[in-house]
Amino acid sequence: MVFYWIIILGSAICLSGSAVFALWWAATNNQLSHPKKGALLVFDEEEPMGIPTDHFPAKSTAVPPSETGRGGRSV
Amino acid sequence: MNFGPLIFLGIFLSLASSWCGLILIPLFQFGKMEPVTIEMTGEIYPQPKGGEAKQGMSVYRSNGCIYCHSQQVRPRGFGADIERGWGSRRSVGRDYIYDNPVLLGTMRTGPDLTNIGQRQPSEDWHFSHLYDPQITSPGSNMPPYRFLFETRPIRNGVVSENALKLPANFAPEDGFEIVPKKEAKALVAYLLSLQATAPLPEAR
Amino acid sequence: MSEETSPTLMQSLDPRKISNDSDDCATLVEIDRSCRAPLLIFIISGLIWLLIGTGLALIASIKLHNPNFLSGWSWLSFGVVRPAHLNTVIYGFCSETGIAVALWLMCRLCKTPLIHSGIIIIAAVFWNIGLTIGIFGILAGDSTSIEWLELPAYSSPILFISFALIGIWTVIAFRYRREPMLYVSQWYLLAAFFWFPWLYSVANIMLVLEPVHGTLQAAVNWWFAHNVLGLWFTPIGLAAIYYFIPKIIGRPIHSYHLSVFGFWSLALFYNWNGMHHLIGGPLPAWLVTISIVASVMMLIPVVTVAINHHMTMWGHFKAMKNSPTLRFIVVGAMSYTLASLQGIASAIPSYSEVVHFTHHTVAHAHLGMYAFFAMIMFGSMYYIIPRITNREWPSAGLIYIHFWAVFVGMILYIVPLSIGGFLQGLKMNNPDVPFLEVVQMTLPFLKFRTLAGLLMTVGHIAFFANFIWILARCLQPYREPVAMILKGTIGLESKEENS
Repeated sequence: MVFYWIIILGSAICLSGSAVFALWWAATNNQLSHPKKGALLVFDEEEPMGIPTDHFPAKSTAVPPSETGRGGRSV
Repeated sequence: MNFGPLIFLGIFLSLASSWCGLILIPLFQFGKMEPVTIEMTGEIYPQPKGGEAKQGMSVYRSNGCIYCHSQQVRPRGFGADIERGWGSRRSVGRDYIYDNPVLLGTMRTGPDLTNIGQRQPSEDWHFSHLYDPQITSPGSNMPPYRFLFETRPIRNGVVSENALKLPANFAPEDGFEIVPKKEAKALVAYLLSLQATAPLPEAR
Repeated sequence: MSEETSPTLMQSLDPRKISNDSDDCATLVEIDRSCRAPLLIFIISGLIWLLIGTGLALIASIKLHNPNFLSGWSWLSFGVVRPAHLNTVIYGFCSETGIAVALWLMCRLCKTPLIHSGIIIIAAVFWNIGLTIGIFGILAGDSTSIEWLELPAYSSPILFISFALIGIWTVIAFRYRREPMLYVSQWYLLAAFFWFPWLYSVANIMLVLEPVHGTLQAAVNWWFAHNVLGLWFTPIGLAAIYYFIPKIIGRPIHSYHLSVFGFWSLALFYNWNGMHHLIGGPLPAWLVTISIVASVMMLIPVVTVAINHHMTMWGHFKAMKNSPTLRFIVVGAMSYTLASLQGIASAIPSYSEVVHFTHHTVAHAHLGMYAFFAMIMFGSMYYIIPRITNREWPSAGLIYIHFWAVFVGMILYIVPLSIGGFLQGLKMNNPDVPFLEVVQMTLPFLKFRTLAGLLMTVGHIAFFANFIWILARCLQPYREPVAMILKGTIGLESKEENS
């Protein structure tokens, strides 16, 4: 029984250790340095932040028209 | 800015670790398990299944019996498998070395079959049960496997030797008899071969 | 997207020859239009598999409380219909729509049109041919009886070819991306597209083509089967959640840190989980124990993801009222948390002792694959299909029917069956209760499951009808740039379009 406890504790330590290592790796490799920028990747000039993009059909009257994104994009 | 290769490495290593840990190490540990000689009786256990029983395993496989019946007895004190009479000892890896596929099963809509050959040693019981489970186990939700049997006219007034002896309310019309097809015979031979009772030292 | 920037196959294999210039990004309309043909093939066939799988599920469900139902034919017996159901919904519906959603997300996040669509179309054709052959094989009695790998040896290589093609395409799309920064969804997708072929080929070789000996088969089996969930469906589902929730409510994910942390902890722990399906079985205790530990560690990624999604949605739950996609996605995201917690509980030996081998496991599988993954796929398709067809969903009513039917149906399925399975396990562990009494005790729950299944069927038919309707609209002349209506940039005119 002691043997299994060693396995349980040992593997728990190894697994947690590797999780900490992954976090450390991510932190030291700039994976976490621009978190805000990464999170903004789903938005662009055509569909900027702050505008809902999905509606039930024929229920889209609530949002005022905007002039962006009608074909090509202005850079 | 391109962390593609590093991310890929992490993705690779994560699955590689579990592949080594859960597959490769066990492969070296018990991938080549051999049969043993039982001290008390001197017989070699387990024995590969022969002829009809082997074909029966294929019938068991193709009809998906595994989706309702397990073939593993859990150790005493964990569940009530032994108390229910499904086995006299727990199942161990050596019981399965000749099985392909290994049909451990994950569901017990029906009872465990590890030792069904010992629990129900009668061929007739199995044929009746497969033909219609209500005959032997009223209230069961196991489907009838009538397509494993043939209904045919009785020839010259002599009932075939292997015709099913059915109770009146399950019997075919007069002049007809029900005989098992070769799939049913093979399946029953397989079920009767299911006995994992040899007293292995590791199963104590 | 002009002609000269479209790369040849050889150029795309060498990223130095193409530009990673983010000024060069394709517009959303260009991306969506390029996805049209390849995605529609996957979605149409995926939905047909859904209907077939639903039919098979109903037959199997009725058989469990009414064993004489359709019992005369071997190809409709329970042990054949059940694996046929599993394989149609897993490799048909879930994988095909999952691939479609993954490809679209990949294009959107790489900001590049779907290039070399021929590869995808060939892959879709192969996938469907392989699967059709395999399902007929199962019905004809060629099932391997290895759970989640029932497709016979003559069909799985065809599926593998298809998958290899998609994998190659993913690498090309990724290297050709115009947006150098990676979003967390792309991590999940890349991982899924790398993990699945590995799992699938190793499992098929070690179990079907050149089987290993003894109970090692069970270890390979559950390493594979659990990882199909954890490393194929879960990453695609989470990738979709991470994209759609911020996209629809117009607010970035609460914490990008947490999402990255969640990804790596999932990658580390999930793939060690499989052996918890063998607790009490004839395998070495250390093997099972490792999986139990890893299963409990899954609390980390699950709680991380749950907090992150919940905090992103915080204050925006009202948006669910207006967005069909968001309804399905949020329900799916919540089910992910519940399914994971139920799974973790089931991996703990004292709980497993009761619920292993019972209908509780079936309920859990549907909580994961249906209430989580299928809901995410439904939601994603409500977003993607109008954009790639450039037509609006014809009927809001059918969307409401779909949502409420599957939502109520799935609750009626999962909650009673989980409880029923637990009670079944308690009775089974009491040797004084005769086995047939245990069987009788489960029947009311199984009947209830058939009712729930009927409700879900209604939802699927409503969705399919709406989908066929939108396809029919594609045949009519194009009238309005509907993508603009969907974005809410055109107001009242959309009402006239709809009438």
